[in-house]
Amino acid sequence: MRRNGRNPAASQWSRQANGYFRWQDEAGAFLDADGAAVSPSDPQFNERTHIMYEGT
Amino acid sequence: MSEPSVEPVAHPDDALARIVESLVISYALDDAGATFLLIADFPERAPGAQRSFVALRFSGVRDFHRTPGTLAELQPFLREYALVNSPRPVMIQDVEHTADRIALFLGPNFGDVTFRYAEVRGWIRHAHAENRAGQWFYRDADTGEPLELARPFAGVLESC
Repeated sequence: MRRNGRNPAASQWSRQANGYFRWQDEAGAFLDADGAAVSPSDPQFNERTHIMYEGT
Repeated sequence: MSEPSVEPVAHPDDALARIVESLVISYALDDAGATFLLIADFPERAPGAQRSFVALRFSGVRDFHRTPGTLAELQPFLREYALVNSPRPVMIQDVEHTADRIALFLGPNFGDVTFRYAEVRGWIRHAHAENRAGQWFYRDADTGEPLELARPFAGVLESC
């Protein structure tokens, strides 16, 4: 479930407890939550490529 | 001229625990000096800094072993790796270390690097980032000196 501000179970803390995942495309580029490739030269590379697991 | 602004790492062991999931900028084994220099992103930034880098220099290196991963295009990287020369970015997936031995697990695609060492020292450099026409440019957070992402410790580490 995406965070919508109305579901207390989807708070920041529960998402951190659930963990995160990272995904890569075929070329090996790391992707952000929207599936856009993030350049390693981006200073937010780590933050953008760690995608919080929010359940299904 | 301002002083180089690298910050020595008081406890390299702690730094090794924190670089898990960090992007590898480069590593290089120097046979002559028996040193191994690892440069990676560092998650703990100074206030106001947009990106931080850590350099860990292992000395007295011996029994270096590179276990190749599954991806052919990453197998040629043996004693040296650099993000700028690599077809894809590599993450530190896990670090196992004792007082004199370390194993860097760089993912199933890349494989692992293991070696024994006598001593490890570390330095951290904080940077400001600026985006100009879609490209990121970095400057030292303290001195404002430009730095290259490919070599964030160029010119400052030799003096440490």
